[in-house]
Amino acid sequence: MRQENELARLASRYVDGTITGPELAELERRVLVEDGAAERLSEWCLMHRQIVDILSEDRLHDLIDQMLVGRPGPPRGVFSEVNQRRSRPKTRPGINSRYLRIRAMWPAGLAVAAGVAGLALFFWWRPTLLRVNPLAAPAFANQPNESAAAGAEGRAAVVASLTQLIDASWRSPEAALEQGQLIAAGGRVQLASGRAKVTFDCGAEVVLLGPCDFELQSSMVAILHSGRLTADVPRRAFGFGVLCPGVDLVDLGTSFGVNVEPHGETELHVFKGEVLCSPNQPRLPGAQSLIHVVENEAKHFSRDGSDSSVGDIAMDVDQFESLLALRRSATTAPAGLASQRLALWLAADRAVVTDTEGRVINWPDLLYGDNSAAEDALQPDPDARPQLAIDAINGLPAVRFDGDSDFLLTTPLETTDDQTVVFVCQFTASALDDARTWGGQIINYDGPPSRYLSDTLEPGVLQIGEPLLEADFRPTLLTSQVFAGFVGATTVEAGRVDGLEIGVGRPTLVAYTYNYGAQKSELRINGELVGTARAFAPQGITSRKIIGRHAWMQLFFHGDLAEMLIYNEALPSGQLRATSQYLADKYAIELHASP
Amino acid sequence: MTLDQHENERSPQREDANGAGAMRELARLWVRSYPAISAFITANVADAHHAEDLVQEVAQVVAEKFSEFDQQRSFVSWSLGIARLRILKYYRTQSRDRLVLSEEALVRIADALEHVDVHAEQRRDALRHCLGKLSGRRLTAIEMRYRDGLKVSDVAERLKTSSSAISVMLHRVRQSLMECVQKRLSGAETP
Repeated sequence: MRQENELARLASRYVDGTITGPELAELERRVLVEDGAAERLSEWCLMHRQIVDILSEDRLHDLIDQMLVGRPGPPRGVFSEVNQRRSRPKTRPGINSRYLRIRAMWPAGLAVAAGVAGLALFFWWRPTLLRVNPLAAPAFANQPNESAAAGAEGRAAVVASLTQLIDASWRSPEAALEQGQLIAAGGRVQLASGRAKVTFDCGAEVVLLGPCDFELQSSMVAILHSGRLTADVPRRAFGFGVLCPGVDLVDLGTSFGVNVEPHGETELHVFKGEVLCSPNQPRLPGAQSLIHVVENEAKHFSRDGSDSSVGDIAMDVDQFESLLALRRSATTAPAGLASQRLALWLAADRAVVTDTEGRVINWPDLLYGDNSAAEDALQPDPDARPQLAIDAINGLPAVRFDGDSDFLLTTPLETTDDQTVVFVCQFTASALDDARTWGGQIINYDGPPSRYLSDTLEPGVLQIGEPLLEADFRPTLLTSQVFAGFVGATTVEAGRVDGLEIGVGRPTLVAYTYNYGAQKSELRINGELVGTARAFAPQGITSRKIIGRHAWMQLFFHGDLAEMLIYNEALPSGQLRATSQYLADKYAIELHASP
Repeated sequence: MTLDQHENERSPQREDANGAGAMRELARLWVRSYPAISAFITANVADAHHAEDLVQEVAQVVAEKFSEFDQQRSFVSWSLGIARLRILKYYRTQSRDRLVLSEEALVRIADALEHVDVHAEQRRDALRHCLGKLSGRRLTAIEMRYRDGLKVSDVAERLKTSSSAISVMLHRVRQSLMECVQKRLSGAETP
C-alpha cells in the first residue's frame, strides 16, 4: 500500500511538472521494472486529462447555452453569398477541398462525447447554430441577367471590385456604379467621362478613361469594346487577357495601355514586360498567328485582324498619363520603413476616399518597395463605412470603427505562411461598454468567400483583436493567432499569443510576427515582447482581408486604426525595430524595448 | 490497373466519396483514440497551453498521414507513436524546463494507455460524479490547475500558500478522486 501511495505521489508530481531528478529516476525505474506500474501510471495520466476535459466541457456547455438564448447571429451570409456558386479555389498545391465536408459529416453529440478540449466546438458549431441574421449581400454591378441575380442560386461569381472613381459620369443611369462595388462576371463599366479603376480578383489592376465600354468576363479576362485603359498585372495574374475588336492581348507580366477607337481600331503600348497578341479574326493568308510586343514598343491592329493592318506605331505614353497617375506610390521613402516583401500599406493620412459624410469608401493601398499591386480596403455599403477621424492620434487622422457595423474589405491579397502585421491603433470609449461580452477583431484574413476550416489541410486564418469568446473576453486585450481549423473535434490554434489590456484612448503600436519557417510567433506591443508561441500551421493564401471585424461573426472593432502594414515575411528584428520606430515617431508612441 | 481502379482515379464523384469515407473513418477512430492520446500528452507536458498545442499538432499529423496508416495496425498505438515523437521533439526544441521520462518509459506508458483506454468512457462518467463531490479550497485548487491551466506555483500564489502545500493538496485530491473512481467502477459506490 505504501509503495502504491508513493507511485501515486510521484505520478502527481510528474504531471504537475514539479518532480525532482531523483524522484524522476525512481518513477522511471518503477515504470520499467515493476509489474503493473506502467498501467497504474497510465490510469493517473488518463484521469489527469479527463479532469481537464470535464471542467472545460462544463464551460463549453455554458457557452452553448449563451448562444442558444440569443446572441448576435453571424453575418456569414454576407460573405458566403457572394460566391455561393463559386467553386472553392485550391489555394495551396496538394490541398484537396473534398475534405471540407468533414464538419457536416461529424455528428455533434459524438464530438462532445469525445471530450473536446475547451472551446473547440464553439467555432465548429456556431455556423450552423447561428446562421440567422445575415447582412444584406453586397451590391453587384449591372449583370446581364438581373432576374437570375436576384436569387443567390443564380448569382454570378464576383470577379473584381470597382476600387476608384474620379469624376465619373455614366453612359446611362442604369450603368451607374458605386465606388467599392463588387462586380460579377458579365458586369460592364460604361463611362461617359471620368476615370475608374477596376481591381480584378486575380490582382490585375485596370484603369479606364471615359468614354469607354469595358466588360468583365471572368477574373482573368475582360473585353474592351471601346475606350482607353491601362493595365498593371502582377506576377500572380500572369496570363490576364484583354480582348479587343481586332486582337486578343495576353499579359506575360506587364504594364501596358490599350486604346480602342469607336470603329474598332486598336493600339497597344507596352510600358513594361511583354504582351502576346493574337489577331482574333479568321486568319488571312500570310497573317501572323501570334505577335510579341515588348517594353517600349507599340502596335496598331485593325478591326479585321489581318496581318496587313498590323503595324508598328510610335510609343505614346502621354495619352495614358492620367490613367497611370492613379497608381499611388509613396512620394518619399519613409526613413526606416521596411520595404522588402511589403504586401499592404494603409495609412489614414494618405489618399483616403470618403463620402460626403466623411465615411471611408476606399482606404488605398500605398505602393512602396515590393508592394507593387494595390489591394485597397473598400466599403460600398454606407451603413458599414467607418468614419475618417481627422485628428485622432498625435494630430493625425485614423479610420474610426464604431464597433457596431463598420468594417473594410481588401481586394484579394496574396499573403504567405510567414507574416508580419504591424499597426497603430487605439480603442475608443465604447470598447468598455458594460454590455460588451464578446471581443471584436481588428484584422482577419478570412475574407469572402469565407472558408469553412473543417480540417487543417487548408491554410489557416491570421486574426488579431480582442479574445472573441465570452469566457476569455477582456475589453481592449489584444490576442493574435492563426486559426488553423479542425481535425475531428479538435480546434487548431497556431501561434496564439495573448497580450495586454491596453485601455482606451492609448495609441498603441502592435507587431505580430508569424514565422512558420522557424515555428515561432511573437507579439509585441509598443516594442515590448509580450509573448511567443509555436507557429506550426501554414497560412499562405490569396484572400480578401477584413479590417474591423470577424469573418462571420458580428464582432467588430471599437477603435481607431491609423496605419497598418502587412509583410510577406517574418521581418528580421532590425527591420521590425526600424519600422516600429518609424511608426512610433510618427504617432508619438513611446517604445519599450524588450529585456 | 483494372477498369474500376481507373474509374476510381478518374471520377471526381468516386474520388470524393472515397475521400469522404476515409474522413469518416478517421473521425471515428480519432474520437475513440482521443482520450488516450490527449492523456498521454497532457501527462508528459506540464504546461497546459503547450499540451493543447501538441494535441492539436498530433491531430493534424494524424489527419495528414492517415492515408499511410496500415489498417491492420492499432490506430491508438499508431497515434500514440506519433504523439511520443512529438513530445520528444517538443523537449528537444524547448528550453528544457522540466524533467521527462525516457523514451523507453514513454513507450511503456503508451502501451498501457492503449488498454486503459477501453474503459475511458466509464472512467470519465465516474470521474464526473466524483468531481461533483469536491468543494471549498480543494475544488478551487483543482479548477485553477485544470480549468484555468495554472502552474502549481501560480495556484499557490493565488491561494496565498506555498507551492509544496499546493502540490500535496493536489496529490491528495487526485488520490481521493482515483479511489472514488475505482469504487464507482467496481460498484462499491452506488449512484
